[in-house]
Amino acid sequence: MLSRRLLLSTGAGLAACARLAAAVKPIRITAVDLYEVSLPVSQTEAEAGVMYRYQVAEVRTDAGVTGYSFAGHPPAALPHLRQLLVGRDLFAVEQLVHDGLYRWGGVEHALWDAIGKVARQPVYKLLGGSRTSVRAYLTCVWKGNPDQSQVPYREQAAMAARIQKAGFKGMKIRAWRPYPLDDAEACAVVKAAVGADFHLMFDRTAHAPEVVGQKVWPYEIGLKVARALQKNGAYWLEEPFARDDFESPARLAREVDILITGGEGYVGLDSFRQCLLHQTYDILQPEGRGSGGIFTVRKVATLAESFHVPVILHGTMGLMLAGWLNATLAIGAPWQEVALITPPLLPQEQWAPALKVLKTTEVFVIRNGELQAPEYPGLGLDLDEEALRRFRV
Amino acid sequence: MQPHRCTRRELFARASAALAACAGVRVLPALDRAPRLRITNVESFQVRVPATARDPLRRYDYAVTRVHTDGGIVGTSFLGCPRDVLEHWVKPTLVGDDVFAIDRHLKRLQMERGESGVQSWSGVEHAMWDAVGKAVGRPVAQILGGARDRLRVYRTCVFPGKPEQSDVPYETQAKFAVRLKQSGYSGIKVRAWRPRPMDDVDMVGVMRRAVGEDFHIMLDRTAVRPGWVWDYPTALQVCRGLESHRAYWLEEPFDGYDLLGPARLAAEVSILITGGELGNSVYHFLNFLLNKTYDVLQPDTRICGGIWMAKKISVLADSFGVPCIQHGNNSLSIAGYIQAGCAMPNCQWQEIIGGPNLPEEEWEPALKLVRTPHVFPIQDGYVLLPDLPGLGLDVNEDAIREYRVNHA
Repeated sequence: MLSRRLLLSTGAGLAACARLAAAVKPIRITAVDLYEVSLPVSQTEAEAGVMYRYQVAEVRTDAGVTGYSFAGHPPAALPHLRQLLVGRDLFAVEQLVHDGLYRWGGVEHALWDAIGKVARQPVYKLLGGSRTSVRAYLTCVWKGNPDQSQVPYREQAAMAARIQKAGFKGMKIRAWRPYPLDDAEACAVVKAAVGADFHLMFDRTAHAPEVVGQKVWPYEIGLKVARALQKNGAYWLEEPFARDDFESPARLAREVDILITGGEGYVGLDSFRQCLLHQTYDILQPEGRGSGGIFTVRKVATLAESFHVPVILHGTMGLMLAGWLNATLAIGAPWQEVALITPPLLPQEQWAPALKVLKTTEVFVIRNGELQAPEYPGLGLDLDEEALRRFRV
Repeated sequence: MQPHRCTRRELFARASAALAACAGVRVLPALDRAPRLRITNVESFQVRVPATARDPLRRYDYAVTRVHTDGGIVGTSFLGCPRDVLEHWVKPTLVGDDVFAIDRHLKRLQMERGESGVQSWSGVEHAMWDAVGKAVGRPVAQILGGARDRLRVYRTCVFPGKPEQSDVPYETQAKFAVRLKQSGYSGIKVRAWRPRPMDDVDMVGVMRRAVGEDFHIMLDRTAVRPGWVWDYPTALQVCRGLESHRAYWLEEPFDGYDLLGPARLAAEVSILITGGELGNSVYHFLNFLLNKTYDVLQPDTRICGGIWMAKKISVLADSFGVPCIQHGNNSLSIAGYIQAGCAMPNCQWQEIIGGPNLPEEEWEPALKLVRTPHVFPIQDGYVLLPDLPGLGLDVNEDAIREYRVNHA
């Protein structure tokens, strides 16, 4: 029921219409596109591992703003995505992720790019971040046998020294060699080259070594390797056991002091909550895209914070990194992984072709081994959209 | 916008652009860098809306907190900030710093003032969000994920008379529930404070018969103090009675910090057991969740430390599959609560606390302080997320100046 007073003031309100603050109009998603770009490189560069192909996700809006992500998905997903997104409110991220967008984290990144551009602010700031930089560590995988058994320890040590000289403070390599304690020996050789202050991490990658005919380690092997790595000065051991095994990493983490980390395979919040309840990992590593996207990472960090567990994102590189970097800065994570580096390349060398679609002179600014927070709105890439169209496959 | 010094990167970009121009190459315009917003001042004071006759069921006095920024944007909340905190922590800490860095500011506050300190700055926190939303041009709820655009309202009604409501006839309470229902609202919460606990159960029976089935009746024991707490058999007997009258929930039947009592009750009865308004850190709520203390968590967006903290608690609760329905407030103070609630996927209701009148009657004097025809848009018993940036209030600056009284 309206009182006489209310009615009167309604009239007055209408009369004073011109003085009112501008109403916020919903911004609708008008189109979504997935395509590939291929940037020109020489054959030598391509063979050396230079990054030149990207899956682009593009989200257009009726505000005239377009969001981009280079962590897109194959175009086969387009019919689903159009049905999910077109006509929906750009800002309804919570609902969209719930409705299925979590399966296409790269598109979620493009959504955030558009949101940040509408807001004229970097995404990490909108999501509570205030750091201006973050230490980067480089995950190096040598070409050839994925188990790295062909790579001499001294070559890994030389790469670590090169990385250190370039200002970086950490490197991660695989713990995939057929005889697991060999990786602990590699650790000793690398640490002897770079000293105590340089962080060296090892990644067992759970079930991934199945591609070279290996099985997930039995607990006793994991314990032996962890103890040897700890003795030789490694910083952490990542995914020593299966991803759905919440108990064994917890047992290992209780038994050794070296940090036991993991989490890149989980989608949504539930597995992360299980990890926290089981004290599975010392550090949680949600995937910037696969977990569901930036918004999901922000939530994982909120859960982890209440359990005092640090969160360091599973990484990526090149233009894809934009979404990961914003998530990392949003949650104030202590490191950003840059992966996969193909030695002897450094990140700036490996992602150099990306400059062809940017108006800036660097892809990401790295100073003293720290990725600098982007100063541009959205995900922070100042794109040359015309060039992007030119290189579309 | 603050002028910024040229960075190495910009110098380099300009130099390369100039070189490119000389060589006849197309020069691309760069995106504008994100504007920075620094806090220049924070103030808190009282406004009093004049009235010829002051109706005790309406609210005329408002605490205001304002955060001024160098971008010219002013954030406003209608929650006060105590002078001590304002002068000795807020201003020395926040002036000159980034208005967006709310998480960092909150962590510093927790470190320097402890958990109990967080509720004192909430007026400032809400005002900072108002400034952020205005800078961004969107409602705060949208910046935080935009989970919903409306919240179902329930009216928490404390009737004039004794605090325990023992002198209020059951029929008076029932009649008001009917009025709420006829006005489009779908829920009421009343106190379960009567000296003989089963009297409240009888009252609910009277109310249920009067109001019909499709109306939510909630009871609040507010048992925040020892000595005031029921023993378990009493609570169980009350819950059985409430179940028989199809009440919706019973709030805080035991001590506000008791983890196990409510859990035992929640496991035994079908009526929802709710609580959590005193929690002022995520650890309180984590403990509620780990102990299955409550069926519904009720953080208070002022007491818990602000909108950002409330959102964190909501995420935590959501991961355990537990609804997070905020504890309420009234009139202009709920602006930040509405934004927080609309950012929560697990918050279906907004509580508006007051006397036996409709929310829009209670806040009618506040119309003088805003330039919109309503204080908050209400439709079919829902409060709508205002389509204005920030906390969604179009504050009448002239009125604020005119009615300003002093420091809060």
